[in-house]
Amino acid sequence: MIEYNGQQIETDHQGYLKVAKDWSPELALLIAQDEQIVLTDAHWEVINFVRNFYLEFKTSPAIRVLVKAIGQKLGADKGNSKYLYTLFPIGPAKQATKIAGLPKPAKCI
Amino acid sequence: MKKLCIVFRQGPHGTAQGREALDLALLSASFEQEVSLVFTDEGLLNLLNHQSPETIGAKDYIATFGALPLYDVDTILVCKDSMKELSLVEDDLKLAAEVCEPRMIASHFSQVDEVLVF
Amino acid sequence: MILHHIQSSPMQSSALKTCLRYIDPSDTILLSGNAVNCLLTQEWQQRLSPYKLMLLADDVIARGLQARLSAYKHIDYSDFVEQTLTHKKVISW
Repeated sequence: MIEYNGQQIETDHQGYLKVAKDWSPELALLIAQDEQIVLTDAHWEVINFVRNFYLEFKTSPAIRVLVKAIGQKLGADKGNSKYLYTLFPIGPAKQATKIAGLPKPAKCI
Repeated sequence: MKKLCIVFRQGPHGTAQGREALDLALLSASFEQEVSLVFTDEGLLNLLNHQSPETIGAKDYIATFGALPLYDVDTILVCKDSMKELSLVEDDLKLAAEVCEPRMIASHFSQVDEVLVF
Repeated sequence: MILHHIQSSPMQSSALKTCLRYIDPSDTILLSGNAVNCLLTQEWQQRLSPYKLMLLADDVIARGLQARLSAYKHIDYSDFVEQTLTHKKVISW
């Protein structure tokens, strides 16, 4: 449960939103804070990618797909999992999907 | 790298086969396997446009087929005989698939390392 | 050289019918479970006649069909394993 704007937002016991529609960029800041991440434009690139991917395909992207997409968008030097780990130290798929307000990916790094 | 061919043989939503097949395809592709898909019999209906699985409380894994190109799964073969049997035309399918004769599918089976039927 | 493994009868599933659509004349068909029942019908006796056929013996015995299906090759589980090794791949329909 997250309290935001006087509203109670439901989460699972690990802090993932139960309803993807409850998400807003402001709420993302709160979740990120909880993960001890200060969001930069670089973070937002990834967050927006995973969220749009989920909304279109109804599943979260595998790390390989994420790496490839970020590489295509931001250049080959950023298209590797090391770059993603510098943004999301505990695990890009885990933390980026959490901040993007998506359910926890079933199988992910 | 292994060449893995996954065959969709059953219609969607009545059983979990289609969803499991797609899960395996994405999972294998994300572990660098060379994945191809074959659709035969009612398995073709997985690719039909305008489905709303959520109407019957089923998970909408159909939307996930759209992500296959991003997983580098580009070989998608559909059986011409099954298309005819179910009165489907290419425009009815939501993915750019290659409609082929059964003998082409047979030769594809002989070229891959593993064939898994769902 | 593919070993096609069918486990359900054609009255129950389209597996056998679908398999025949893609089979190569050099392939083998192994029938187990309810699939062995199909050889009681003339239709399937004929449709399968061009192919190398094997039946899993235990499944035939369990169903009391040894005498009726005696014209075919029956194999036990260790033969089955051997067949999976001698064929290039196995497709379980």
